[in-house]
Amino acid sequence: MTDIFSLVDTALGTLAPVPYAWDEYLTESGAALPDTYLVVSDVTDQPAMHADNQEVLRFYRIQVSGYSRNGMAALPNTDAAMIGAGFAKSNRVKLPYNNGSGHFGLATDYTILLDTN
Amino acid sequence: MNGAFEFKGFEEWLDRVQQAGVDIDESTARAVDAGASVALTGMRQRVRKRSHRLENHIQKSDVERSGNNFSVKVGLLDLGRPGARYGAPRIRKRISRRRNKVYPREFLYGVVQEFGSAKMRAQPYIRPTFDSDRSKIRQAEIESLKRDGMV
Repeated sequence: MTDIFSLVDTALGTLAPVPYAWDEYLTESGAALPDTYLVVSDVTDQPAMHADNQEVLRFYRIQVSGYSRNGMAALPNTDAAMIGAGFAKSNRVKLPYNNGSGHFGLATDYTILLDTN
Repeated sequence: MNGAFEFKGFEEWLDRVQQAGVDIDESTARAVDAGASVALTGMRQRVRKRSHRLENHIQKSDVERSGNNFSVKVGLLDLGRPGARYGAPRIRKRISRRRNKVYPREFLYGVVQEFGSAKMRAQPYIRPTFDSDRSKIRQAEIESLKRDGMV
């Protein structure tokens, strides 16, 4: 059985040294956010197929949000990393500019069906 | 390479529909509206609830018709009267949206809730609804069509 979290970690690890975090990028009190970073969240995590009362396939929708102070063009290429790990690219949404932190943002959804056996 | 489709029993089905005395357009609108109601409930169940203002701005529009396509918008809609909408679905023609329209501030908050921001985690409620409730939505549409004797 492939673990979705380690699969995503391996995929985004190829983008090092760009830092990433699950759910929310936290910094120590008073410290500023990095210029460029990624945030990953699992939007949907649900069974997709059962056989003999056992779950055999699971559907995941993973959102990878890229944030950069240097504009959208400076965002890392998450497509190559995620598609290389077997994900399919889904919707992409530009996020509102954050006045407080000065980050531009772009959220991309990636989906995958994983064998649970 | 090509293929041929044969559709038998179409006249018989049309006769049956005619006998049922139901207007196809109205029945289709009811079915689409029934599916939208399931999506609306799913979004309202999943959305983060603090003041319930965001929840109240999740609404569904009237059924819109464009040619043979029937559609309903579900989500953060500025319909001018937040809250659930009840009663028979109405069909209206597609309308154009005004440019530079000012949306309620719940809309930005709703987008940030769905996708997150540089300083806030995402708590999605729209995408999980369509991923998880897709079969429920389809089932509600089929049930509505069955009630009208369409299928």
